[in-house]
Amino acid sequence: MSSTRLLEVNDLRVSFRTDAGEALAVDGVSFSVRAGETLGIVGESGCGKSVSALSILGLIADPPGRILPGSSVRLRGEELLTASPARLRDVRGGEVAMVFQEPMSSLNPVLRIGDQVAEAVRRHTELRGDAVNERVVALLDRVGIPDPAGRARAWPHQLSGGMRQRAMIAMALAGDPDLLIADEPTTALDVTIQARILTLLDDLRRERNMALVLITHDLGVVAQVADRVAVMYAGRIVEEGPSASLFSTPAHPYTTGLLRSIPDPDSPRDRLEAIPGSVPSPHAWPPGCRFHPRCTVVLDRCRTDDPSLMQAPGARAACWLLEEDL
Amino acid sequence: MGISDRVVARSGGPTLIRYLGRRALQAIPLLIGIVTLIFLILHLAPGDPTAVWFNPNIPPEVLDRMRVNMGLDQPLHVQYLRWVKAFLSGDFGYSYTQFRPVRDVIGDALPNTLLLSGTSLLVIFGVGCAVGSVQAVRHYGLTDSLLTFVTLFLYSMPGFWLGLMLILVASTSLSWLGLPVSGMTSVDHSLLGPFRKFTDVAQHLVLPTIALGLASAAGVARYMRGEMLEVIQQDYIRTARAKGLPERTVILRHALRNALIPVVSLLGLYLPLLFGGALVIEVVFSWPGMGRLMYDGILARDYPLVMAASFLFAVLVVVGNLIADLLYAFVDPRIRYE
Amino acid sequence: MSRQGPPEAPGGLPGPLDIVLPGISALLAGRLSGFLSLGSWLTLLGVAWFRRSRILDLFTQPGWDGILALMSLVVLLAAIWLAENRGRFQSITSLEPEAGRSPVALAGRRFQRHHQAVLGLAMLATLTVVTLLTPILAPFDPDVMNLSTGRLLAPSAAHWMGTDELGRDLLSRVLYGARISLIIGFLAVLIAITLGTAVGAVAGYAGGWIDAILMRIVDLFLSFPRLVLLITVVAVFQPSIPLIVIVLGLTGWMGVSRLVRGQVLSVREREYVQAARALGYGPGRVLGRHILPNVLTPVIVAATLGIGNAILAEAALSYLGLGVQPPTASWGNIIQSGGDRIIDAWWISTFPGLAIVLTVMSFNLVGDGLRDALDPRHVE
Repeated sequence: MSSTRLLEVNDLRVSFRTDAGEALAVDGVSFSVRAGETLGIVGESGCGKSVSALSILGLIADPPGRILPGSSVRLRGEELLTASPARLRDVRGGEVAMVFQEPMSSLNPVLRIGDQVAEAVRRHTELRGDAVNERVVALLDRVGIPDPAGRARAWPHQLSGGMRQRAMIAMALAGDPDLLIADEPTTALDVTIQARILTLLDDLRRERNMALVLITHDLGVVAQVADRVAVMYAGRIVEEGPSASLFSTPAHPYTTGLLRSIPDPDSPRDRLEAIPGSVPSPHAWPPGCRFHPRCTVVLDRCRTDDPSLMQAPGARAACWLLEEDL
Repeated sequence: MGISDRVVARSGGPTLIRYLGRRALQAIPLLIGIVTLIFLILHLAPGDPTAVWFNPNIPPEVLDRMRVNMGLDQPLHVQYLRWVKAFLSGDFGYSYTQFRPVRDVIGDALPNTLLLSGTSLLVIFGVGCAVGSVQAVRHYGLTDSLLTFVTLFLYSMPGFWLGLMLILVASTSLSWLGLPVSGMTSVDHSLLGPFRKFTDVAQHLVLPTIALGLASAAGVARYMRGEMLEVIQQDYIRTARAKGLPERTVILRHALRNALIPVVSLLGLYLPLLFGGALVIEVVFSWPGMGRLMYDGILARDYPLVMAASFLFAVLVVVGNLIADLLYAFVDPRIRYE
Repeated sequence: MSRQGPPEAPGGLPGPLDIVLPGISALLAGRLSGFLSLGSWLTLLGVAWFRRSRILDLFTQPGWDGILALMSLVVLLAAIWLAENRGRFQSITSLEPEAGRSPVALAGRRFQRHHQAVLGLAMLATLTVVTLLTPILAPFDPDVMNLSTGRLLAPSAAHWMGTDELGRDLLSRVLYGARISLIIGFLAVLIAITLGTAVGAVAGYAGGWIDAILMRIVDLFLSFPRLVLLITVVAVFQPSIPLIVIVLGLTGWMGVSRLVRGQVLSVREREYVQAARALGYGPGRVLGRHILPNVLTPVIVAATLGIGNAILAEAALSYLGLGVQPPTASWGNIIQSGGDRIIDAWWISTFPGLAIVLTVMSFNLVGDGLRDALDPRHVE
């Protein structure tokens, strides 16, 4: 089984030192990704999904962040959290690449697009000289940038948001990675562009047999491209499973709530159904099940006991209701 | 002088020249203003304007002739116009104490001032940026705290006092270094071969440059530290690391390039400080530059010299700002729109 | 007894009761402002007792003591105002982490800055007290010469900083020089910020061609190195302390004017200003009562840093012999007299210079601290 698992994250715990004390932003997150599959990680802001993703590549700033011992991130069986800095640098951009949310601020404003992509090419391939430029143009072309040779000479501020994101993706592809992590890749873009970027990511994945981890707060995004989905809440994964079953038969009340809050243009409703309450702060996780203050079907047990992921039909969820059903 | 004033071509070429031309054109009213201010200062002095020009060494007939030559018998506005025309065409009159046209006297001294100032500028921004970057990269460490104190101390220091301290140290504890403490050249300079001439001047440059540059370098370091700290927090640094680039590349190629942009704009602000400081340092070290010339001129009441030097210092600042503007546009590709 | 400080409407200096009551209540609450108030009061009392005069008479006395008493009163008022307006400075305790700025980094910097600012304030307070009490503290008369046995003595128990070429005790001269430098710096900055605020406010509020012309004049003055303009003027007129103060002020207002102009521009279109205009208030009143009190906080920062710069400029001027003329002691001219004998009598030039560095450092520390308190986004 582990031979087909490209990435295995086990019991990841990340804490941050803040003015108000130590906060555990990620508290025991475990998930895995197989080669060529798309995993969607969904959750509201502050649930720890971005921190989890950054931890994979060791991009958490220390201080103030700290990956706690006991956490494990294995790439094809190799433990990344204890890898040497040199090995980690090879992995970054080489075997595992990442694209970020804000393409404008994530690209260096004083370097040309082509130069930034070329940097990645030179770092992770043996190409030199003119071959590098050819590869750069080819990459820019593959991600759908018109006039790639001309655009390569442009600066980030001269490109539109969608183009910049495509350029970021080209940069990520330079090292021919086996896994691409996309942290909210479409959040900062227009709705019309979002679909195209997602389609691009999906096509690339299929073409290169590349695994894709898609982090987002938008269920619509996940529905479009993900094979499997993990739902995060308050630093934990509360449900995970194949995306089809997640959408048809959600197991966790939080997932249900999220699905219900998606506005449906076909069935007109007077008001949006939001989940009552608000996301708790990492400084003050509620006792017991962290979702219980906002849960519409809360049991007494939920207030005191903290559920771990349990088997449900077709998925796994951290909810006492599943036990009750048995 | 805001960024909104800077309009540069997209990639050099004829529009860049037009930009240069436009800025140069804007400088002309500034130059006229500078001459006007100097003229006002001169003529606001109490008493007869000719009394201001009074130099006991000049026989009265020469004084009368000069009075006519200067047009001092003419109405004020005529004098003013003649002044403006003369100054803008480089005619600064005749030096009382050197018995040569002021233009020639200054012409000999100006390159020396430029040499001292230019070298100091390199030190200021070279050392300043390096120290500031190191501080930012080692933000939580002892190095940073130590350097913060050191830069604050240096920044609060009068340059001429530092110069004197350097002379003291160079003449006593570090005398084995053999660093000269005054002048620009040794006595036997004219007898030296070309390479030795070069090293001779270079040796004489060391102490004055340090005295002139260290305080401002500390100021630049403080500023650079703040800018670097801000840049390192940016998203594109995270992207560069995510690409697997070595940390050195991330800092040098990505962080530094961006942090340097606002520092270039600092250049314009430091120019007046630089030239003012050069004046005093030249006096401390007897450096044969325009500053010392101006100072000697004041003591000897050689007013044509003094006024011309004053004018030229201001011109240096204006020209320096022009160059700084150009540099800024080169360095930041975002500041380019029609 | 617990007043919250000046009422909501910005502006207006505190009246006498406003000085005493917050001071006492602050002391009771154990706050820094309480200690500062009490400290300043005690100092004034002490000086008055030594001078055998009433505190009020101190202010009306001609000469340096009067000016210094005035200065300390201003410092006292400023300290109380600052302390009472601490709410505005609370921004550095805000926990909102900006994008990418880690909370720990914020806290660490605040800690460091706080300590630096306190150090600066302590140095400044010491300086103020020393300056006020100079006539008591100085071991010798600064002008008394000792040409027979006392010339060029190295530092010793009798003369902590040695003597100069005329046998005068250097420590006493340095102490009296402090008064000169501080007073010149203080008065010069007063002129500079008055002029700068006026120009900047008019330019910012009026806009149009008035703004354009005023800003061109600013550019003009900025084209001159300060020292060059200083010595040009001094060359034509005779050097004297009032002249130095005026010219220092006339060469230091440009930065303030830009600052104020920027602030006025940003505040001009806010609602309460428009409300005032709608009520028919003339531009003077709108400017004076509504705009200026809110734009003054960065001016305070600029003023603090400006005093340090003014001291440096005056020192350079005096060093060149174009500033404070001997026998009046100024740090700059003491350094000058020691310059030629730097190798044989190093102490003459060294100690005044150290005094300058420490003084300017304290102003820089306080200025930086104020700036950080007022602008939470300022990275350091």
